[in-house]
Amino acid sequence: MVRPTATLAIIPAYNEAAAIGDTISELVEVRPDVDLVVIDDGSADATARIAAQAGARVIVLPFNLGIGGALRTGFRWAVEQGYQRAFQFDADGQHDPLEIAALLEPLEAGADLVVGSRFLDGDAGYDVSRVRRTAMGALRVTMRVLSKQSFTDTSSGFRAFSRPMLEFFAANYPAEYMESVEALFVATTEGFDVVEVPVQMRMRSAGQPSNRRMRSAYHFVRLYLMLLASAKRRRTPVVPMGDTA
Amino acid sequence: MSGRAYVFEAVAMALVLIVIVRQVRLRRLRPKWGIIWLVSALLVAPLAFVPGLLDWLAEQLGVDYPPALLMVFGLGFFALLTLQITIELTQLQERTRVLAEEAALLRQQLVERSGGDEVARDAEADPGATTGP
Repeated sequence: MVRPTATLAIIPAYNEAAAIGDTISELVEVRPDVDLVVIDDGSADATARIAAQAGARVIVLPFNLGIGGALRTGFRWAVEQGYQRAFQFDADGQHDPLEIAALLEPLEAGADLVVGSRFLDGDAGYDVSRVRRTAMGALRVTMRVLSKQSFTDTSSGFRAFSRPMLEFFAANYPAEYMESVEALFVATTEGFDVVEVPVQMRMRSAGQPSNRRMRSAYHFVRLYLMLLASAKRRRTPVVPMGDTA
Repeated sequence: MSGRAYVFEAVAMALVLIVIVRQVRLRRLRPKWGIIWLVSALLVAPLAFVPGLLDWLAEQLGVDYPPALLMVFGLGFFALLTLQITIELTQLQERTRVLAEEAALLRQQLVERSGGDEVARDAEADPGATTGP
């Protein structure tokens, strides 16, 4: 069992050999107090070895499950090992370890899910394409209508989780691509306290962004179906939750 | 219908029965699916062996062109079958996913218990390999 105050960094990684070494080294240097677990999502390259050499514990999935499956494995690990809180961190160096403190802070105040938003303070330093921006905007509006809570960055992968949130996600984290939006939606409708904090993100240091057009379009449609379907069968009414800052 | 057509139908029918029963006995087909195939075959059989049955049925249901009725039943049957298969496929995919997660977590626990860090090397060499402690 782990120290009661320990925080776990969950780092899903798929073919990130080029970036993960630096990401881990920097994370260890800036936050030596944090435990690391890398979930190698069936990588074909040296991701697992490099991450282990850089000082991370590495859990290797037997084949590629997609980021949702990798994250769920991480949540299970956190729950089984007794961590009271954890956060999700990108392997590609897009997240800044210096921002972790700000991400974890709302957990102390009782938040269950903290989302690091690129846009809460304007989108300085982060450039996304217009198509992507439009799609994300549409999702944001839909989310606002369905969850009665407004988010500025529904697809951010820089998130922190309370113990109850970890336990819920260990069993229920959505498995399909663009799962971040779905997870956010499920968390709000299940009555968890979700808040956003502003963070700066960097450009990806290596690896390919996983947003090929057709695939994105398909998953966009799938997400909409999911949102509308779950809005219909929602059992418990949504209670107004903590301030979105 | 000519006698030759009857012989052909009977032989085809017998072949279908033999193949299905054989697949079930060899455990290549779950009895559940074997039963579904057999029952559907038996339901269709009277249409082949009783002349005029299809015409009579079509008339009762107000269908002008009897072969169309056969098509509707046939397509409907296969649509339902496909739906059922995709439902079971979804379930299987989810279970496979959970098993993969469990396997990864168990392997990690084994590695930590034995105090080694061989997991990374082994995974790189062969992602599908099971790692001994």
